[in-house]
Amino acid sequence: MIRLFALALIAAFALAAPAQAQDALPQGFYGTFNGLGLAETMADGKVVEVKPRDFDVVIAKAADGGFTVTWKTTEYTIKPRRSRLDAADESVTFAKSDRPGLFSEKKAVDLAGGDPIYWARVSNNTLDIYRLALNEEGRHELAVWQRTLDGDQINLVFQRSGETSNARVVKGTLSRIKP
Amino acid sequence: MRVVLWLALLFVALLPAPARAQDAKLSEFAGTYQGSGVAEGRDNVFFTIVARDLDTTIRPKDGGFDVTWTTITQGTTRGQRVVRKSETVSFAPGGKPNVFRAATPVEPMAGQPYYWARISGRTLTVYAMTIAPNGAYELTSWARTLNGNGMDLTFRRLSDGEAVRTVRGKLIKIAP
Repeated sequence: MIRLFALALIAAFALAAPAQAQDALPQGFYGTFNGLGLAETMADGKVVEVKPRDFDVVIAKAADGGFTVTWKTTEYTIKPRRSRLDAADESVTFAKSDRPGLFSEKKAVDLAGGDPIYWARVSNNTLDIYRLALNEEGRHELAVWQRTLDGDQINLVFQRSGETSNARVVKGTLSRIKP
Repeated sequence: MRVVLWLALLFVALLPAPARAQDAKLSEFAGTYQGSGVAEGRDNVFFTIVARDLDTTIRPKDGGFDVTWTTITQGTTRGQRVVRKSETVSFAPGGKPNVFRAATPVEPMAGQPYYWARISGRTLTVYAMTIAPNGAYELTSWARTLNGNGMDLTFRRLSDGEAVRTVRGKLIKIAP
């Protein structure tokens, strides 16, 4: 009876546990992933444009419990006589910060001078990467990539907001192609 | 002759870009301002910010400026009193026309606010970005637009992209 009560207590605590900040990226995130998604551009709260996107992401271990995320996005514009591909890539190495579950670049950045600030949050099976950047006029753009691990898949939600362009939401799924 | 012309063009191209002609000069914002406003929060509670609560002083200095202002925060529980806090931040030129960086470097991952400012048209906007212990960000902005006898203020606070509070007010210039 006591054992049953203890098990019930453990189960109750496990269910009630909120998202916990973690000091390390879960092992399942490491690898090479690719996938597809849709980018929705918003204006005045309405979707005004939808474009397909390809995603390639490589997540690798870095020194002292940190990690490097390298990603490439290819966006398709499909219009008669004006179809084109736009690709962008980024690579950021995150190191542990003094706060649990938070990671940042180890270098000093000059936001007003044009450097973006990156930071990351690891919580359960979700990795959030934030980027704050300013344009030439000092207007800001905030981007968040939320990657949630589900077995060998990553569900991606990207959100861009700020003063430089229309808000954008991208949702997609990536599958592991290499460990 | 052609070489001289090319060198002159290269020299002009390498000069820092000038501030846009339509933008107000920093000196136009200098002064002490006093005013009042109305705040609107996510909780749909409206409250009036009484006179003097939006005091602002702007002093140009070494190509940048010092700004002192009052921050207004309200407790989340009904009946909690409004807390007013005065703050001064020094800004230095940011390397781009009419963009300014905080004169003192900070460590955003330690929770210190990262400030920057810009002038666009008749508006001086000061921003503060803070990273919370859980990684979420809070972005606060004070947009001060020159009008005939003072400034219109729009204060906004976003938490992880969600609007938390907006204050709109009017300030009168009481001292140069």
